[in-house]
Amino acid sequence: MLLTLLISALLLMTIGMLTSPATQCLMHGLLTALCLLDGMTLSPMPQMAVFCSVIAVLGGILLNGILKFQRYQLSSKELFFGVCIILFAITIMTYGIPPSISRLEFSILFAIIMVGFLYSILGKTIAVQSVGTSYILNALLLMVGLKGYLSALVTLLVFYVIFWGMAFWMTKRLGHQ
Amino acid sequence: MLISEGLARLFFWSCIFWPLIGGIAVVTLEYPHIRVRIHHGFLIVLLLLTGIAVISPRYMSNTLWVSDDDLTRFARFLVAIGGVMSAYLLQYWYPQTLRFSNQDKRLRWALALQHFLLVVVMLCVAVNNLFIALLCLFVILIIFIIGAGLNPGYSNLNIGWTFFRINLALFSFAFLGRLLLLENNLTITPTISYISSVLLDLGLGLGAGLFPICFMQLRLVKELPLSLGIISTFSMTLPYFITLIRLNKVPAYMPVSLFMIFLSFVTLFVLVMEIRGKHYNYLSITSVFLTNLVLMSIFSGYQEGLYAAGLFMVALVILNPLSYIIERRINSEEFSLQSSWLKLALSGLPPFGIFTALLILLGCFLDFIPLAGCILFILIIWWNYNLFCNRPFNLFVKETNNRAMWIIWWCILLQTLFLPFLLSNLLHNISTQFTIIPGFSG
Repeated sequence: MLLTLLISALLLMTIGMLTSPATQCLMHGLLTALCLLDGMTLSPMPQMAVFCSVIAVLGGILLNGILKFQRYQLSSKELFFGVCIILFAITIMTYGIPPSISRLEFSILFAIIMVGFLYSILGKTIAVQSVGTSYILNALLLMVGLKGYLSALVTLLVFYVIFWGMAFWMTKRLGHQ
Repeated sequence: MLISEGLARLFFWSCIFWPLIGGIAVVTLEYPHIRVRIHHGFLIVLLLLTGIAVISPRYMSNTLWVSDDDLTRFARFLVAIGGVMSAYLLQYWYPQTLRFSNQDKRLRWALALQHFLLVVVMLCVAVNNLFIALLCLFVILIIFIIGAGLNPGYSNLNIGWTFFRINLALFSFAFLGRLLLLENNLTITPTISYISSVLLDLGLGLGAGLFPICFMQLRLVKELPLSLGIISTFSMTLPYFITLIRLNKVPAYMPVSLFMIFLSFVTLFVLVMEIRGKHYNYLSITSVFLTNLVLMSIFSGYQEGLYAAGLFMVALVILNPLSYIIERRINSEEFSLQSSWLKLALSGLPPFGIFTALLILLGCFLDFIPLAGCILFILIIWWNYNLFCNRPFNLFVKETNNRAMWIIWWCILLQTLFLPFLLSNLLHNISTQFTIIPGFSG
């Protein structure tokens, strides 16, 4: 029950916006880590869940540093589409998955990924784009950590590292606009 | 038996390690003319290695994450042919890009990145595990973005970042789809396996289809240094196709062919309408057309469709570097396309490899979805009309460069006669091994 609550809080964190992207990323990473630590007992490989939570916190701290001086604004249109996508994603997944405990978690994670996709592709500034991409990666990390697939974790780690590098490079070169 | 097995293993792995050594050699060597010679020599040895690997016995069926099946050998052979072709095209059309001075570090790195790209592609086409394949595809994209970063300027950074974000999002779709399928192994529900197959196909198919889009819209390929750009034109899409074909082996995967064929038709139409009326249309449309045809025939899921896809891939590997280089020349030097041989070679129609593949695909579609078959037929007719009737078309022009004509002759001969003849057995094996829907003939 606590896990569902935490994941719902993660969804709220995804759609609700704080004033600065740096804090937003840090909070999102911390919440992901909390979800992972809470769901550790359900995971077939508890060590992997702990490792994933470390990665999530590390990502939050790094992005906090990278995006420190960036602006962050979402228009009401983007927010509206975000909410619509959440409704759509949760409906589809709840329809597809048979009644079980993990149904809600899966659908919420799917919704987070869709919202991240929206922000990452349609966002106007580098801050919004980076935050959206970090949503996607955090949701995938949560899923991988709770289920314990090793090759998926390796791939995701490389995604993370390259994303940090790209975000650093881009904010350094193009961040002033 | 033991010796031949060891030799086969050696050939399998040397396809990956040989270009790695080549890349290191290109970076470290000091003298430009030796570097060019080494570059060519390494590529030719690579072609020989992959050629021998095609005939050597297979030694491992399905190990943890690499496989040594016919698809791997086919794809590696094609990649090696593409590498050699691109090196020679560069030599004849743009000799100055290879004979650069020692101070220009940028071109040296571009040449080395080309070798590293070959390493990753060779690995990627053999990978059995979808997650690791996604990792390899991602590394390929990163190599391109680094290559675009070699050109100084603001625009290519922005383009690289856009390209990165879009691709990462698509990869995460495919990633999610595979995760859902893994989850679905325990309690099989058709809806979830349908949703995850759509996610997988969308992620990978759009990623492969993005290649022609980035050709024209994002202009990433144009921002690359020439030696890297010319090899990128096929090495970007080929691993995607191979990964898409390998999806058929994933348990609980459901091909969503109708939806995806519809999607590729829509993208084809949108792109053709978008670039109509610009002066480089035929060359770019050829790439778009070929890429979409390969996607369509893969998604059709039939045995004949996969056979046609293999023939298309041969055409893609041979024609795309040519079309890239010609397009580049037209755009940069306002080179009027006098030599009609070029037009003929690039039109994508006369080479019989494509022609046969088209016929097979048409027959397949007319039975499978009649509407799609009819649309394809009309497209081909319209294509030919544009090519042969709308423009003055004379076959032999005196000012055609003799050497260039020979190269184009070779291109046509290679993919008309030699390669289909050489690879037909292999293609047949692939098409029987990787189909879910049984074909009409077997």
